[in-house]
Amino acid sequence: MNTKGTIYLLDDEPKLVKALARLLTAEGFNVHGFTAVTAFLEAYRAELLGCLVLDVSMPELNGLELQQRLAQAGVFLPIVFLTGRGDIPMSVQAIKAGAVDFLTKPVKDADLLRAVRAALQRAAEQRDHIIEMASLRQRHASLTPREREVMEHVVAGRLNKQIAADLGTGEQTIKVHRSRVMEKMRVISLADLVRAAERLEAGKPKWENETANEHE
Amino acid sequence: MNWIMFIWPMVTAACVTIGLIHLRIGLRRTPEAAHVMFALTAFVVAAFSCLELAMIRADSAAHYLELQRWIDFAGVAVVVSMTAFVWVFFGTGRKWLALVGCGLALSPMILNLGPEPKMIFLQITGIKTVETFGGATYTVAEGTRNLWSLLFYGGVVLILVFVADASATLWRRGVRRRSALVGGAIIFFLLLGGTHSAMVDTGILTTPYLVSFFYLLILVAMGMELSDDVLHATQLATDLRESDERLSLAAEAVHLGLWVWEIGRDEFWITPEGRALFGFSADERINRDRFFKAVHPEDRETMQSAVTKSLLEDDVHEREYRVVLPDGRTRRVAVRGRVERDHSGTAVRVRGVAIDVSEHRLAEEKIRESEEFNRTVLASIRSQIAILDRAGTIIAVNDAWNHFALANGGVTKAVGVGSNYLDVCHCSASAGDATARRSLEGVRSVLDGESEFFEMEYPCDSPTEARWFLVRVVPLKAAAGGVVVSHSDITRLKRSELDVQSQREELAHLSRITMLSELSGSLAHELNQPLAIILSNAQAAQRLMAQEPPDLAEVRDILVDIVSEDERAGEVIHRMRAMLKHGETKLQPLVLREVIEEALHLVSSDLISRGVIVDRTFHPDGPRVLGDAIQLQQVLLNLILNACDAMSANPRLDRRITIATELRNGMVCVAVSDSGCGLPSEVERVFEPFQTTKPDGLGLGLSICRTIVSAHQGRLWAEGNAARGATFHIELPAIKEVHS
Repeated sequence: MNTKGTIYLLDDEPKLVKALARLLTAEGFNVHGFTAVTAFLEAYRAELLGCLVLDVSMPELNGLELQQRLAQAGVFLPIVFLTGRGDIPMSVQAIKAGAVDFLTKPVKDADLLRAVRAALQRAAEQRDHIIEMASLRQRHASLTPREREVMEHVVAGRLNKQIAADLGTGEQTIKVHRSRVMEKMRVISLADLVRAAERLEAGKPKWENETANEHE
Repeated sequence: MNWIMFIWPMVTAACVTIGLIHLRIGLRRTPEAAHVMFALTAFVVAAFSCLELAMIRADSAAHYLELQRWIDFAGVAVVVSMTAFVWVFFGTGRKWLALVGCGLALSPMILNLGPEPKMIFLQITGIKTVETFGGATYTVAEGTRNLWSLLFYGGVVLILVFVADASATLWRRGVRRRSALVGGAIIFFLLLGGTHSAMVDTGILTTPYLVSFFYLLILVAMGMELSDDVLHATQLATDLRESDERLSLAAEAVHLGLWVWEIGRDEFWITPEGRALFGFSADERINRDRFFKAVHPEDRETMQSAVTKSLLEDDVHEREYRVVLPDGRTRRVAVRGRVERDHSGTAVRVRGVAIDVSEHRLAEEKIRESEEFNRTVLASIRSQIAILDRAGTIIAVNDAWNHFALANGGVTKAVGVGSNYLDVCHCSASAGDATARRSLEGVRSVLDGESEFFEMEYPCDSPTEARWFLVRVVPLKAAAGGVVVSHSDITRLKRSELDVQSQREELAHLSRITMLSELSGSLAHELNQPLAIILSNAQAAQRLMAQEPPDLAEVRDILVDIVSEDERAGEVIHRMRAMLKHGETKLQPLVLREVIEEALHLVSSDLISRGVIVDRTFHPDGPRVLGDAIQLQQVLLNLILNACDAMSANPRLDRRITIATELRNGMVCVAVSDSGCGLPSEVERVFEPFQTTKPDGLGLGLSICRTIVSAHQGRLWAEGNAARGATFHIELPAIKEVHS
């Protein structure tokens, strides 16, 4: 997989930013380096597919705090952490909070590239997922209230006859509703419909749910 | 009764009276032969005068002849006694002349020894009475004259020559009045008396003898001489009394005893002061034995031999004796006497003085003891001490100084009494000896009164061991100025001082290692950073080189960065190695600001990870201090880390350290303030060893910091801040900068 994307580098050490930028640029990435959090925040563009390579110990705001802030602000940017010291508790915390990787300086190019690619991969997946969810919601939104009711029952695994009895209509009517739901949701099988319903229910990708749980 | 009967007895009386006077003078305590002799001539002339009168009144030839015999003898007696008088009175004259003259005058006397005196008259035919003026009569004889009688006058002439010669000699010796008056009178007497008598004897004149009348000349002359003597003596007596009084006064004032010892009579005359001195009673008769008894038994033998010696050989006797007083007290008396001798050299008397010298001796003894004591004290002092005068010349040294000079041979040999200390220092200083130069400056400044004190330690190794000396210079408390220089061997002290120093260094080193291990994470990061940059740059370069075409410009930039980062890593290691180094204290001029910056470099990543912000307020001139960079860095690191620890409970953005330097009264002050948890109530406890708030701390940090600062002649103390937190102050003496 040769996913090229934008990489944000944030480290208080300008020389390191410069070195890493050289390395990543040579690998064909689009690299933006920063030495201060504020500069990065100003330059960040959410629409670009990207990831953040972040030094844990920044003077004014440390890496983990920035990670938290971004998450709270709803910015979904995969983060690869760099640290000067092999601090295990900190790395556990970072990974739990969704970090792609936690690398110790000096960082080998292979490790960095692997992590960066993984991050971009995750960013791409994230973007795909967001697009998919958006169309799913759009389709779901095109259902009539009656169709949405029928869909809930279908997904819950009820038979047409049971649904008709519950809603007080004829079985045939339910059948029509059901086929219209299948058509509007653009699914072929019941299984597909159930998966679409689950995803709508969840509303968020799996890892994002975990992060959310973590912070509640 | 006629005038003759008055005149002759008067002359006789005059002669006797004057004779008696002279006899009285001549027979005083000290007999004078001259006066006695003169008295003799006077008596002889008196007898002669009686015979003259008797002859004038002779009434028979036989009677006349008998008187003639006796008057001849008297005449000879007059001549002989006169000669003897001149001999004694003048002390001059030729002996042979006197003897021959007297012999010649005596020789015709043989003629008078027979039953009939034949010297003048061979035969008397008769006597006749001659009348002279005033109706007075006298008797003369007639007969055959014997001209052998002229032999007598030959003798008289010789005696006359003898007297003239003696007078001339006396005149030449300067005794002019006596020679002229007395000598002249005698010569006239002999001339007139002799001529007249000769003319009577030879019958040329028919008069009685008039010798006694001519003798009146001599009486007048001697009377004048005597009256002069008397006047002189009166004056002398007055003078003597005055001088005696003065002397007595002076003698009394100083309790001087005067004494005279008449050796012959063995009798002492001694003044009341003298008697009091020796413990004699007022009227006691003092002789040699009594004198000896007064002296302390142990001194008697010395006195005996000293007296004997001075009587025999010396003229002056000078000794001190212990005198035992009747009440048992002992005093020390100095006796000085001068021996007087007669013309034969026999000691006749000793005159002298005596004085009580007990107090004098006591005072002398005290001075001597005090001098001895001072000398002993000086000699007992082990330091080498020299006293310099205002010009730097050594005027005294103690034994230790001499021993040291001897023990150290050539170089210091020149530093003895009389040599100039400054010159010696100057000589060595010119040869490049820095110690000598500093010593020279120090001694000079104290000599010139510019400083009250100078002290310097210096190494002075012997061939076998390392030695240290301390030279101290203090002003000599004397009007003439000068200084006391002392050199002390402080090797033992210095060694223990060096031991303490090395222990302190050891401890400081240990503390640095502890601190560095505390900082190890931060330092690893410090080292990691450049390594990370190098690695990434190098790997980027590999990629750039692999491209076609390779981006060489970028690779060149990368290499520049790699080099600079490598240097940075090297610096970190260098800093760390310096802190870990087990070095001796090396004092050098330092700008404290640089030391602080260096310390901050070491902790910078620690500060970042702890979220601590450091504010710096540095004195613009950057005054310098003399110090060991590493040790001072250690102190600052310690204070900074302590400050960080104190603020660990503060929120991240509320961790602030302020480091300020300023110059105050010649001291460079550094204040490290934090806003942390502050100090315990007993502030000084933080400087005690093994006091710690950290679970893994040794509790030595601040205690060592204080030792280090003290070793730099500085102070380290802590104060609680008004609001919160604490401030640690370091104060170090600034180097006096010489501005050109």
